[in-house]
Formats: sequence, structure tokens, C-alpha cells
Amino acid sequence: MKVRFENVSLNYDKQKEVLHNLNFEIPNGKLTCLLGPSGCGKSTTLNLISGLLLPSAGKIYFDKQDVTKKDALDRRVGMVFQNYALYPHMTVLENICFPLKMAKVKKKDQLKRAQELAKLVHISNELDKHPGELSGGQQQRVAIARSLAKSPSILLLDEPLSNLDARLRVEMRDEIRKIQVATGVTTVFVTHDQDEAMHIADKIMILDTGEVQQYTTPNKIYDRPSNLFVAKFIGNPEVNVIPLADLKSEFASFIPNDILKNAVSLIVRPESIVSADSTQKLLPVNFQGKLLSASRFGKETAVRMNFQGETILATAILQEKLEQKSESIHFRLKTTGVFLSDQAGKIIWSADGERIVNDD
Amino acid sequence: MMIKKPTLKSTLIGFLYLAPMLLILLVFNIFPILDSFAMSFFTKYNFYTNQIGQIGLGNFKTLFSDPNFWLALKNTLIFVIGVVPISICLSLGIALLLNHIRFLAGFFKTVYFLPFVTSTVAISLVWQWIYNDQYGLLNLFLRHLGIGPINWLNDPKWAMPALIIMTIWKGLGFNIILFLAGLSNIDQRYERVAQIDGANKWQTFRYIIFPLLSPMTFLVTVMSIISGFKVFDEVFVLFGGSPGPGQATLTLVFYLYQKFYTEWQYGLAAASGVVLFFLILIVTVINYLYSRKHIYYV
Amino acid sequence: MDKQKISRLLEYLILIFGGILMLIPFLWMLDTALKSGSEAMTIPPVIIPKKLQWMNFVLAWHAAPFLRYFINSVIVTVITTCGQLLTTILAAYAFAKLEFYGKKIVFMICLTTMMVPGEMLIIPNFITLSKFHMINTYYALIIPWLASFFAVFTLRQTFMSIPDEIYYSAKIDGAGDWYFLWHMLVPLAKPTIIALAALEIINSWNSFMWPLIVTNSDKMRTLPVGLSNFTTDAGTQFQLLMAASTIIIIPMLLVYIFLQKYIIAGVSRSGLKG
Ligand SMILES: Nc1ncnc2c1ncn2[C@@H]1O[C@H](COP(=O)(O)OP(=O)(O)O)[C@@H](O)[C@H]1O
Ligand SMILES: [Mg+2]
Repeated sequence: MKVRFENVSLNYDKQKEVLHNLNFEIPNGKLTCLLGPSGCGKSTTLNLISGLLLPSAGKIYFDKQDVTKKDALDRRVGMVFQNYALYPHMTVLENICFPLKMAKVKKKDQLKRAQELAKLVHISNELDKHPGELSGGQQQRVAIARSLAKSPSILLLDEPLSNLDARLRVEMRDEIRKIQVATGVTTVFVTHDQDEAMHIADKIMILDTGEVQQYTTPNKIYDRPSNLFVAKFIGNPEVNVIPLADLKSEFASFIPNDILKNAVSLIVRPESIVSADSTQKLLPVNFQGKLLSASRFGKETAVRMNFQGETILATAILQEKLEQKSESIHFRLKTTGVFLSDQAGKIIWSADGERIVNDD
Repeated sequence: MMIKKPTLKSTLIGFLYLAPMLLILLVFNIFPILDSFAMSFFTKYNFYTNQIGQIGLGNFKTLFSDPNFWLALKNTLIFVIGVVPISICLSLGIALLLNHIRFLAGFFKTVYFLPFVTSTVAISLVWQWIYNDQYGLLNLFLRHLGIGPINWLNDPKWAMPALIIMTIWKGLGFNIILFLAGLSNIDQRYERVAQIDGANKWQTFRYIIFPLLSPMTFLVTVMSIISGFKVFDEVFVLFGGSPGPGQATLTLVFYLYQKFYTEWQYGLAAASGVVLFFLILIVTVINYLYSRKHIYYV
Repeated sequence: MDKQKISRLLEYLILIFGGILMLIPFLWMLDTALKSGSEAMTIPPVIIPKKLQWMNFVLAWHAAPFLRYFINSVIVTVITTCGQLLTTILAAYAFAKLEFYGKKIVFMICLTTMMVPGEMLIIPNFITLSKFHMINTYYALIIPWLASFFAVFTLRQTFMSIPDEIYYSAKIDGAGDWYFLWHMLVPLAKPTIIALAALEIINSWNSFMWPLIVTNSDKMRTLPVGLSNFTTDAGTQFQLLMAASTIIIIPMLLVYIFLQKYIIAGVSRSGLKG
């Protein structure tokens, strides 16, 4: 099922519009992530898809069908909430069967379907327990099974992993991915955790302040952020943002003038700063910074240095280079992970060659 | 459905759900409140024909010049002052003990709470029998202590204490449960920290538990005072439908009952109801002001 | 170590002593109910009757129309409790989960009624009911108690603590509002509902002043009123009075024993939110 938003806006109350004029299409059979900081409107967008919320303006289509006015039941969505929202007074089996019971499916078929799903999510042994007797991960599995029970047109998950501990989170993340692939159900997954999104998604939609910031594949989001917000939001540790004003002359040799004229910030991923003598593909500029601190974390070394009055972070300068004990560090930039942004924060140049064109 | 915005339709539905409760409440609570106030200003009121002789403060004048009213007010206050402090101390003490032990705590709770579920009429009859001057259990016991037979129910001096003792006995369990709820809400770590800091048991209670429990103590006090103001069933049964020997246990509600049920003085009865209302209002307002000031405890 | 043991022992002694004091009236009641008339009236009183007079219960039962009183009490208690639960569940649902104009103001008005002493309402309610010719009928005994805002307030709290996501899930799964209320909220609020029911059963069964005022014949009297009336007939036959008292108390003892957990939790909760 393809989902299309056409000029969709939403306000909860008269004063404040939460989503502004959204236009996007969610591909059939894929897993799409809605990613963004807390409060940016992810849940709101998801609930608009579900039909629990109706848009204040605009239209929503499931494939060719206009579902703008239809409620959740009519849209046949499956949904998993952050707190799972299992019915505490029903057994696992009853929970999974509930949507089928409401749809007046025959008892026998209910059971058959429930057992199928229980097998899919690995909870066949817990069917007679109540949700209160299950671990967080198991509750999660039940919630997924329940949401899949009536073969939903689309599966919606609202921060489903937030209540789990770190290890289980990774496990369940992969599990959800597997289930999605196995069932082929179109899935929308809401999260504020970029790492989660990068690992699980076919496509990521980054939202902020009620607008789509960028909507493409995980790798593209990383390699080609469309604006300063996305660049900062994706990647850990965060990108370095350096005022360009005093550096413009150094870039003049290889950046077209019309671009450089509008650029105000240099954006550099910490792993794109390398020693001056690196043999990788590098930009034809040389810089020098003053070492502030260096600390090693396992395979990585975090080097802080003062550059043009800014403190910047580099993670790809090798430990050996620092052993010379010199105060100043010569460094260069790789041809990936280096961008220029304009006054509005839009990224107008990327070091890996092409100009940035607004892709989808 | 996720947008919590009222619409005309949702309002219609909302009121449909409320309707049964609202109907009863309107007819039997809200209207009567207003009506009571109104009636207290009607003199020579014939309720059946709805004829009002006169509107004015006549009822209150009569009320305030009736020595029996003042007696009822005095008795009610004496009753409250007699019951509340003792009841609070006893129930707090027992709650502390119950909170402290594990073995049989549930059983004791059951026992202490028992009077709460029993019919006031039935249990008052039992107490009437216990108080019996010749054959009563209490006097039998007192005789062993060398105390002469006390005519609990017929001696104006002893009628009020008899009423007070029984009321304390009956209300103890309820207060204990409330105190236990308050105690279980106090983090046990405070107690442990205090003990590490070198406080002994009494100091722990005096400086840690009691202050933390004070909102509950206050609440129990308020609830006890209010229910004390409303005492009736116990008096009626204990003294066989009379307000005690020499009107020794004529309480406010008993006065209201007399005026209303035996003397048919609706205006006067309503006026005494209004007095009761204001007494309770004062206590409620004090409660409200206090809990607003101490909200940080909760 | 020893000191601690002694203080523990002391604690138990106090509790046991207090417990005995609490139980004595009940034991004395039973004891007297099983005595013969002359044993009840001897000086000094005998503690253990020579022969247990179980007949006293039968005698007391037939000495006044207790069967009628009993039936009346059961009818009034059952209908009042069920009716009150129904109005309470519906209203609590509206206040907890629905959005509509006037909700706040209606809630506030209802809240103020909780403050008003019921004794004050007796006069106007008596007048209202007599205008409808309902005095000395079941209607008078039941209708005014079919709504309790205290119960609504309590249940509303419980309903509000049930997360909205459960509601949304139910919606998505195809359950309507009405289904959601009766098959989700109500089962989930079961402990509160049982507590409210138990407290109302006790209230209703033991209620005295109102039935005293609105009934004037044996046909309509409830047990407490009947018992109070019986005292004048029984005079000094205390063994019969105690037997009758026992008969009234026992049903509530059973309710208490079976629902103790809920009743105590309910009373505790009413204190915690106050
Ligand atoms: N029911 C509501 N009523 C009013 N405002 C809301 C409601 N739900 C969310 N909002 C507001 O809408 C914005 C987006 O919320 P939400 O979609 O829940 O964000 P996210 O899921 O991305 O954290 C927030 O500013 C939030 O305060
Ligand atoms: Mg959210």
C-alpha cells in the first residue's frame, strides 16, 4: 500500500499549526522511518496516516483511494504504541485475536491466524499468559502480532523500542526488520534515534518543526544532508560547523564563485578531518589547528583542537600523529563529509563533487 | 478522536452519559441545597400547598432564641471535642504498631475495622446492653475494680461519655486504615537514614514520621470532625429515640430531626440544617487552605 | 537484642489487648443471644450460658416481621447498589474520557455537592417525594441514592489512569466507544468498582435516618428501622434483641470477609487523594 500526503497541515488547537503543508509518498512494501527530535511532529504524522487524527487541510491517499475522511478502522491500519497498549485483562492469545474477534472472524480461523503470528514473533509459548507476566521484549512481540492480526494495509510503529534496554533494542530492531521483510507489509517506523533509523530503514524521512527536512535513503542522508539541521542531526559525534568568512580564499581555487559567494558555514564530519600526510582522496587545502586535548576511546581517538577560534573535533587523526607532542596539528579534509551551507542553512555544496540538487 | 476538541455532537453524547447521574443529583442534591437555604427563610411555610407565609430571618431568630438549639450546638461541640483527639491518638498509635509488625498485621486490621461494616443501629443496641446499669458488662467489669455501678444511660452526667466511648470504638478502624495508607506512602528510606544519623525511635517518629504524616493526620481530623457534627443514629438508638437523659445528648442533627419529624417545623429544621452546613463549610475551608499551603508534602 | 524482643512482645500485647476490646461487643452480643431470658438478667451476669439457646434466633425472627424487613433491605440494597454503579460508570466515563462543552463547570458543581451534609437535604427530599406520593414506597428508599458523586469522582480517577493508547488500540482493532467502556475500562477498573459496590452495599444496608423518616409501616421498613422499632416491643428481652442484632450484622460480615481487600483499598484510596 502506497501512502501519499498532499498539502497536509494539522493544528491541534486554533493557535498553533503543528504540521505545515506536508507532501510525500511512502513506498509500498518498504520500511520507512520518520526521524526527528522529540516534539517535531512524528507521532502526529503517524496518527494522520492511521486515521486517529484527521488533517486540518490537505488530502491523504492510500494507493489511488482518498482516505482523508476515513477512520482508523476503515483504513485497516495496524499500530504499535510505545507503551504497547496491550489489553492487560486479556491473555496474549486474546490480545492477538481481538481485532479478528471485532471483525467477526470465525473462532477457528482466529486461533489459526493467532498461532501463525505467534510463531512469526516467537511467542508461541506465552499464549496463555497475561501481558503483565511478560518481559518488555515479549510484550513488544505481542503488540506486533496483534497489529498484524487483521493483515493491515500498513503497519505503524510509534517509537516501539524506546521502552527497552539497549541490548534488547538492537535485538528487537533486527527482529522487526525481519518480520517486515517476511510479511512484506508497508511499514512506517517512528523514532528519535538516528542510529535506529539508519539500521532499519529503507527510506528515512527527517522531520523538524513540522516540515520534511529530507526524505531519502539512509546512506544518502548521511552523505548528502540537504541542510545544516540534517547534517547536525545525523552522525555521531556531531559535525563541526565553522564560519567560512576567513577561509573563503582557500576554497576559491576549487569552488565555483557563485556558490562560494553565498556560503557562510563550512560543515565537516569529525571523521573527515585527517592528518596532512594522509594518502586518501583529499581536498586541495591545508589547515593548521592548535591541539587542545586528545583522548582515545577504543578504536577511536577524539582530538579536540582550536581552529579559527572554534573548537573542532576530529576522530580520524591517527594516534601516532599526536605523539610528536607538537602543539599545532596540520590537517586536511577528505572529499566526503564536507559541505558548505548558506545563510538559511541549506547545503549548497558537497565535497564529493556534484552540486546539491533537491532530490525528491 | 485524538483531537480533544469539544463539538456539538460530542457535547450531546457527553451529556447523554451524564444524564442519569445528573438527573438524580439535580433533583436530590443540587435542588435541595438551594431549597434548604430558601426554606430557612420561609416562615409559616406550608410545603404541600407551597404557600409561604413570610420571607425573612424569622426562623433564625426563633432558632437563636431557642435554648435547646444552643444546647444541641454545645453538646455537638462537646461530642466532637470528646471524640476526635482521643480517636486520633489511639488510631495513630495502633496504625504505627500495625505498620511495624508483619505477623498477623492483616488479622488485626480486619478486627479493628470490623465495627465500620456493622449496622450502627445493631451495634448501638449492643452497647446499650453493655451500658445497662444492672446487667451490663461494663458495670460488671467496673465492680471488679471497685467502682460503683454507673447509670451510664440514665444519668445526664454519664450519657455523653457513654456516647463518646462508643463512637470512638466504632470509628477507630476507619481512621487506622487511613493512617496506614499515609504511613505506607512514606518512603522507608527516611526512617533508615534518620536511624543512621543517630535518631532513636521516638526521635524518628517525632521529627521524621509525624511531620511527613501530618497531611494525613489533618485529613483524618477533618473527616472525624465532620462526621462528628452529623452524629444521629447512635444517639437515637442508644437512648431509645430520645435525646438522652435531660437532653444530655441532644445533638444538632437530632435537633433537626425533632423539629422536622416530630414538630413539623420545617422552616426551623431547615435553618438548623443551614447552621450545620456552615459549620462543615468552615471546617472544609480550613482544610482547603491548609492543604494548599502544605501541598508540597504530598 | 533482648530489648528488641521485649518491645516486640509489648507491641503484640497492646495490639491483642486492643483487638479484644474491639471484639468484646460482638462476643457479648453473641453470648447474650445464646442465653436464656433469666440468664441474661442475673446479677452478676453469667458469662457462659448453661445451654446454648439457638431458639432465640427463631424467636426473635418471628417476634417482629423480620422476614419482611430483610426482604426490604435486600431489595433496597441490591437495586441501589446496581443502579448507583450504572450511573457512576457512565458519568465517570464521560468525565474521564470524553471532551464536551460544559464539562468543567458541571464537574465543579457536582464537586460542591460532596461538601454538603446529607442531613440538610432530608427535608426538601422528603417534601419532593411526598409531592410524588412516594413516601413509604421503595421509590423513596432507593431513588435518592441512585447517584453518588463521591463514587463518580473515585471511578473517574481510575478511568483517567488507564492510558489513552489502549483506547486508540481498541479503536484501530474495531471496538466502538460503548464496547470500549464495558469490555475494557470496566474490567480494568474492577478493583475500584468492587470497592465502590462494597461500600455502597454496607452504606445502604446499614442506613438508618433516611429509611426511618420515609417509612411508616412494617411493610416498607428496612432491617435497621425494624430493629429499632422492635426494641419497644421486646422491652427488656435482651437475648432476643441481641439475636436480632446478630441477624442484621451477619450479612455485612460476610460481605466484609469476602471483599475485605477491596474495601480496605478503597477506603485507603479515598484518604490518599483527599
Ligand atoms: N493532543 C495534543 N494537543 C495539542 N498539542 C499537541 C497534542 N499532541 C501533540 N501536540 C503538540 O504537537 C507537537 C508535535 O507533537 P508530536 O507529534 O507528539 O511530536 P513527536 O512525536 O515528534 O515527539 C508538539 O509540539 C506537541 O506539543
Ligand atoms: Mg511521539
